[in-house]
Amino acid sequence: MTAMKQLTATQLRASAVLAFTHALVVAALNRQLHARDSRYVLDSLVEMTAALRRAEDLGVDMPFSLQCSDDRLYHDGQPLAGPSLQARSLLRRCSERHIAVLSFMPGLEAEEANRLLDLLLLPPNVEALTRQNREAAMLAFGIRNVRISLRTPGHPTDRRTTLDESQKALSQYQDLADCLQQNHVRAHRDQELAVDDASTVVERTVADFEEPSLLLSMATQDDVDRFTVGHSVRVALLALQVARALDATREQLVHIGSAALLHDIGKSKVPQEVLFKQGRLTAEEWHWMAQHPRLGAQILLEQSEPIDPRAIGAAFCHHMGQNGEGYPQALLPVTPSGTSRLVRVCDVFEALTSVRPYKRALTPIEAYAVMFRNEKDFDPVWLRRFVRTIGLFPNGSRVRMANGAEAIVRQQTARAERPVVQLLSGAKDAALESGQRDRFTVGDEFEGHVVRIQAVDTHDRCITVPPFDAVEEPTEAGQPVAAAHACLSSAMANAAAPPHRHD
Amino acid sequence: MSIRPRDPMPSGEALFPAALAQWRLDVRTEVKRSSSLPTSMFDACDPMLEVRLAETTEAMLSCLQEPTSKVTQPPPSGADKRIEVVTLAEMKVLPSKLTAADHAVPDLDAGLSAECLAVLADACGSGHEGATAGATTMLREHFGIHSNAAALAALAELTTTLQADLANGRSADDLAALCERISATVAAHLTPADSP
Repeated sequence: MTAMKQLTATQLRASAVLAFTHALVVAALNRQLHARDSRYVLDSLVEMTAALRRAEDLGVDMPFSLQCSDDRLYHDGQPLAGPSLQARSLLRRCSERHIAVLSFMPGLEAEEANRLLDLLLLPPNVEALTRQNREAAMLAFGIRNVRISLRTPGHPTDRRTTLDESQKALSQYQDLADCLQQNHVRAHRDQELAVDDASTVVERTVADFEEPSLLLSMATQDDVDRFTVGHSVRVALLALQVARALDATREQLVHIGSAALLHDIGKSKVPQEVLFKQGRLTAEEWHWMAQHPRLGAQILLEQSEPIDPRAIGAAFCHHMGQNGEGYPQALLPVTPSGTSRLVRVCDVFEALTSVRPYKRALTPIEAYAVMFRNEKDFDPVWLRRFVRTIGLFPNGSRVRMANGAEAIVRQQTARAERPVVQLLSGAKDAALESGQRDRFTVGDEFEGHVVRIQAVDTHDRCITVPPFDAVEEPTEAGQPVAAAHACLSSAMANAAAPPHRHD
Repeated sequence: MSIRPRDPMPSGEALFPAALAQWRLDVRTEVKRSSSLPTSMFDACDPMLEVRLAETTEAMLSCLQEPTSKVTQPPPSGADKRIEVVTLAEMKVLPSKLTAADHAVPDLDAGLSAECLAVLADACGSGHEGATAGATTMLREHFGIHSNAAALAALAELTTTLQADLANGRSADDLAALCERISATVAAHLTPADSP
């Protein structure tokens, strides 16, 4: 049961701001990966300039100003978390050039934007934007629809010595994405990979984030990334979270994180028109696509430094079922290892819960339903372990309770369907009263009602959650009894308020 | 389509939601009145609807004028994206599915050697020079196997042919002949070091 949300004008403008900024980041990434005049670059620049004009049409103030710190992009003083996640290399170039603000006029055309990227990205042009050279450089490059303001002493950079948790998480996510982007670019150009960098950044993630849910909450950002980078970072974080729950050693975690991070490296060799095609693939295109696991293993085997076998195995086997069915077809029968099976589950879950050019994102609970529908494609033990660890309502999920209160999932318990939630509002959307208890475990009783999640809220949909079937769990004496969920149906009937939005 | 709100939209920010709701209602009513299309097929209030309709019409016209030209797909939008349909019944049973299987603790490194061996063998037979060299080195270092890459490459090629033949329903005689060819090719490539 899904209800589509209607966007307000303010939300439409915010979405246009994100769309343009994201298009700029993608265009800059494309310039790193492809030749200046390749159609990938030109297409992304056309998309970027169109996004700018759409923003203008929707009433976003022009010129469109983007403020740059070392870590993130801002618009109107508001941090743009989503686009910033993959903007590390663009932000680095802007920092090298001491750029504080980029202001875009709606007359900007693709070719002019490409010349701007020449100035922003090419190493020889670092000196072109000094105070003395800036005006001349802008004239020489024919850039009339962009203004660049340089930093003054005291410009905030966000690289503070003491970062709070969310800043640390953003920075760590950017490092993972940046490292992977660089490796995809290298693989695309047949250059030696920086595998050690990948291990180092995963090692830092393992060391700094005991509980990677903050990083994973960044993973819920909707982005249609061009290089499967965001996808791979999220797969790595999911795999790390499950492995950590299994008490894996530090060394194992680094191996598993690196393997998951590099599992799609073979896609760097698949033509983009195939990778991001919106319709059905032709036989020839499918042949290309089905080769990416083998290409990935080949890329890793080509490296002069030895690569961990888990990474090679995960690259080759992440589209295989537990007995090697799926693709690619190998010369000898392959039975995927534990790591590859875990990466497969994480890979499919992440793909289902992300936006793609051809599909919307599912909520985690919907994704699990789809995965269990195709249960034979997965190792059942790993699939269940994954769901139990991540939870039916992962940490950070926005939910609506049966009484109409809004809440956020804070913690998982031994029961995947019964997380701890923190209320954001009172019943029927009323404000929370001071001193009012705001943390509850789903399934517990409170004031005569069973605390129940009635719907999952995403930015564009509201999914009604049914009362779950009664689950039998062992008692201390080992005899199964009906769990507290048995009373959920009656609680549903007693629920004070109907779902906020539903079909 | 030239649908416009009946009344001018109030300019004040506070009145905007009400005006927007009125506009949506007007648009939907207008579409229902003037079109035989079921309105569930599209979002009449989608700001890009008109653009996409124009593009689709343009593509159809150009296709009619030049039958050889390809119809270009309209640009993607959220409204057009596919979404997997999940029923409430499927969600309802999820917790019970979680308890259905045993709670064995899975082993991350289970089957690592066997997987590695199979992947390395595949790489040796891939005909990809760099990967073959890497795989050969790993086979030697991890498993003490001195592979004959040429034999594996030939075997891989013939296996692919065999698979294609099987798919095409070749006769048993043809397959027997193919097996003989495989055997002869592998034997010709085997060096004394590879022989048992």
